[in-house]
Amino acid sequence: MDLINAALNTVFGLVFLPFRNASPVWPMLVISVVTGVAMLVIFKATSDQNAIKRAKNLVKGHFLAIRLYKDDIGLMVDTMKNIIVSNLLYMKQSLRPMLFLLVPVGIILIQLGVRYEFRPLKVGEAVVVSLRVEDAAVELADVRLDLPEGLELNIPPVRVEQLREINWRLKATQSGVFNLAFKHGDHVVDKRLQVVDALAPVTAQVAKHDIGVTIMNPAESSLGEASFASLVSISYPVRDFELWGFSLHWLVAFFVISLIAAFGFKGMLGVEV
Amino acid sequence: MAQFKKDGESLINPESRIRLKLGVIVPFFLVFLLILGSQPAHAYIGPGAGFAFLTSFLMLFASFFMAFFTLLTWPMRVFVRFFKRRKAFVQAKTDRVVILGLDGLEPTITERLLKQGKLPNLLRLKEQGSYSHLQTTYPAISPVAWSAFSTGVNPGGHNIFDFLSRHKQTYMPELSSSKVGTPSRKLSFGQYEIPLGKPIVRFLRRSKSFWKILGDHGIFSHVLRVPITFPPEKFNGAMLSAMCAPDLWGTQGTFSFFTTDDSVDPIKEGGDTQIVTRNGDRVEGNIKGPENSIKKNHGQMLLPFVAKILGEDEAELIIGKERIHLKKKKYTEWIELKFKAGLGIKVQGIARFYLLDTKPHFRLYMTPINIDPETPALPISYPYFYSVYLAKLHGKFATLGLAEDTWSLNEGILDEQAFLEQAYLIHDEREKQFFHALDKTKKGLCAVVVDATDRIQHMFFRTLEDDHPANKGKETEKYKNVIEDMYIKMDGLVGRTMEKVNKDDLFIVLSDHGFKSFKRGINLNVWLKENGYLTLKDGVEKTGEFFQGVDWSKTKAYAFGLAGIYLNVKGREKHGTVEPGDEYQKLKRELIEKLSGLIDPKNGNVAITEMYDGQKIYSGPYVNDGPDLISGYNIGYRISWNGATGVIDDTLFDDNTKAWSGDHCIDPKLVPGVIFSNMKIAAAKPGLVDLAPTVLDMFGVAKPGYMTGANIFETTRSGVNGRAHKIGKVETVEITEVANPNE
Repeated sequence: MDLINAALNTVFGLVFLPFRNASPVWPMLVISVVTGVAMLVIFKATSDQNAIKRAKNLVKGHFLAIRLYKDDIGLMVDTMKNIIVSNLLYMKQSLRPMLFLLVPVGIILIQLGVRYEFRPLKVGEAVVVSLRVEDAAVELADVRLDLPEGLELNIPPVRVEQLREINWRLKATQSGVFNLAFKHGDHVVDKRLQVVDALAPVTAQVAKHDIGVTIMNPAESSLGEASFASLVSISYPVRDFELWGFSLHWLVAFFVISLIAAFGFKGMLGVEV
Repeated sequence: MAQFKKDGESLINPESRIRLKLGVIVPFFLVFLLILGSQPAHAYIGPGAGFAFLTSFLMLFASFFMAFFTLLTWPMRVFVRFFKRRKAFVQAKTDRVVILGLDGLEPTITERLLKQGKLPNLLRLKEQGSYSHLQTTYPAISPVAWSAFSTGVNPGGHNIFDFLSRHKQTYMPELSSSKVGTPSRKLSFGQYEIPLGKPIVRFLRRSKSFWKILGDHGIFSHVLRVPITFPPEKFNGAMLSAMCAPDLWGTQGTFSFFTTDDSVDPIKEGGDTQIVTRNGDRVEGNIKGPENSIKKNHGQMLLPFVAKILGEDEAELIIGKERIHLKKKKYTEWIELKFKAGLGIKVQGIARFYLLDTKPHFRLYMTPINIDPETPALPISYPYFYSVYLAKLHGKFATLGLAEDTWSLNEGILDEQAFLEQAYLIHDEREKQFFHALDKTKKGLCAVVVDATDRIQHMFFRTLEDDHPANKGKETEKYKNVIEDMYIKMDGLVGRTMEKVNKDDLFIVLSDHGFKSFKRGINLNVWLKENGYLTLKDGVEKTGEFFQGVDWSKTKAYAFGLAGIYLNVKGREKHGTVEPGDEYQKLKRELIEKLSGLIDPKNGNVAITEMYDGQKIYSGPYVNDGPDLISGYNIGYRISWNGATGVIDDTLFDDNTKAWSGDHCIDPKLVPGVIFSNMKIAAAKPGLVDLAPTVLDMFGVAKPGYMTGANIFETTRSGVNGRAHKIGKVETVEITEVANPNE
């Protein structure tokens, strides 16, 4: 998985490269539009366009029946039933292309997620870093964190034995990409912490065995078999995404922009959706 | 795929059916759960699927909102309806009337096949209720007859005397039932001339249809393809227009024939030949569209096409972005044709293509361009979205009034098989629409008219007679059973309808007229010329179409349309020569006397059995707009092709050699229609004009005073069959022995 993540990181790193000094809005716009159009093409290639048209026509036809038979309650009920059934038929036609789109869209969303869900720390901000240890042989008291220059401990670490977890509250005093080295005896577990004022991939969690965490946090490799820790988390601040003065979740922005782009291009590409 | 037995019963056992249902329902349910329970990031899978779900949601939301709003306002509407239409169904003897019109079903053929047991459903219907001949109109042609059916009055009351009426000032033909025009106010700039307003479409049939009267009394009707319903009337119901609804060119049906053969004879009537160019395997041409009404030059819009020859039997037709696979002697689906008028305006029609040959010459047939029911350029249904509704549910369909292209067979472009296939494709569309409407008619009227019966008889009647002149050079033996097969097919339709008709419903099957052979044509204008009633201008020996070359100042009478003779009356016609009053009456008597019993010199047969005086057979406010005399042609005769188009030469009688070999425009006494019903008919001589009063009475609605007919059924106080309390006399109509025309 780490290899795939590394390859995808390289590709998306290149995609984001032209926007390194731009507002986060621009890469979102470009990627959403390109994704919208690309997905449209895939949708056309993998769906039964005639069946979709027929299913849509059925929905529209039954819709017109509401106006036509508005005085007949019995027919109205029939029509509602027909609308639901034909809507299901219509949605059924989207299942196949959905399967084809699942992986590429998932990858895009994950790569956007690592950049837009959280933001790196700013100088002067504090953050909680958590380390979880599942191995009972490891004494939490023996685990320590070496801080590089630019980071300082805000308050002493808190060890929660019941959760097998240690929490550090750190404050950034300089900008940069810092390496947090968690040590237990000779064993070292590394985790990056970003203190930059730019759109950068942020890894909120790295895990030892949790494939879900590895997939959703592709910017850093997983902890490796020799790691004494099972999970390291950094509670980065959530990114406020603003699109022309409107604050909204990045996913909503992606959804709306890609839909608008697809809607704009569907006629030109002759796609029935 | 599920397999079905012939009787429609599924071969899948019940357990398998349950598994099948679960197989469909469970995945849907899971998808729903997934959507409802997932985070937005997981639910959104690309814009295509996003569209699908968004659209589904919007559709569901909108439809529930509309339904909710409708339900909310329903009590109010019921309240209003109660006062406006409080008598609906209160006096009704039945809650539902189903009328299946089979245009041109001939009594003699029907009776012969009934006797032979080939029409079991019609026989069952007859045994349940009645069968009788049905008196038709003068003349016995569909626009006249179906208008009488709709309004319950004769042509003097509904003003439809023929397909065409004559302009009294120019003597030129006009469509009798509708007039389409452009708005007079236009915005002019550059090369454009933008009409300020919608096209003007006027309905010229007069009087009131019985479904409009029913609607006024709160009774909903479905009226499908009843002739002379273009433009559609506003009423309480749903209507699909029929006969006289034009094609996109504005004609009554003009097919296109594309060929690389530049030596081909030009098409005489009903079609347009276009010579296309071929380079290797690539054929290029243009599809002609309607006139461009927003451009000042009103040039015809063109849609370029390319046909790539893929082999001896197939080609690919490319129109814009659309690629259509053509297989030799196979119709395509309806293809959308979008003509660009300019300024972003498009006019859309639909047509089917039929590849005739790829070598030695490329030959491609295209049906007349029908108005697209999904985006109608003219009103072809009421409400306007009814055609859209039907198209969305059942697919695109023929909207042209005379949809079955008889001209292409007449002109020898299509062969009999291709014509038949086309007629039945259209018929299948009608059937779907009819049964859909029938399912939706829980109470009220559902009326449909089937055209295939008329068109197929027109084109195949020759095959019933070995000596028919139209058989010369044509395949006959192969098509001898076409008409019989068609009757049997229609019997099947009757059977399927009977399955959906409840015992308390009134079900009527009827035809507007019968059918006879058309062997010989008569050009009455030639007779009028030869007998000094019509004069051509000096030096003219043969006129052009529609009287070009007639000297009206010396003409006393002229034959116009399919059966009418008009006197050139002073003060009525622009160049009238006949004084109203005595001279007019005397001339009419004279013509009746001379033409009744007119003999065909070739065989000594009577060609005209009787000439009828319009003043005597018509009544109503429009009698004076009708013909002064109506020709009652004998069996085997009809107005000749030249006579119908107003061409005057020296040929009084000629053989009819066209594929159009059967007709009904003869003496109406010789071509009555038929009527079957599941109720006993009480009237001794039921006629088409009785149908409107009959249906009104069955729904408990009083017939208007101007309707001359009456309820043809024995009526009861409590309902229809089974609970009958007879108050009328039942006439038993015996099936008479009818000679097979082949024998």
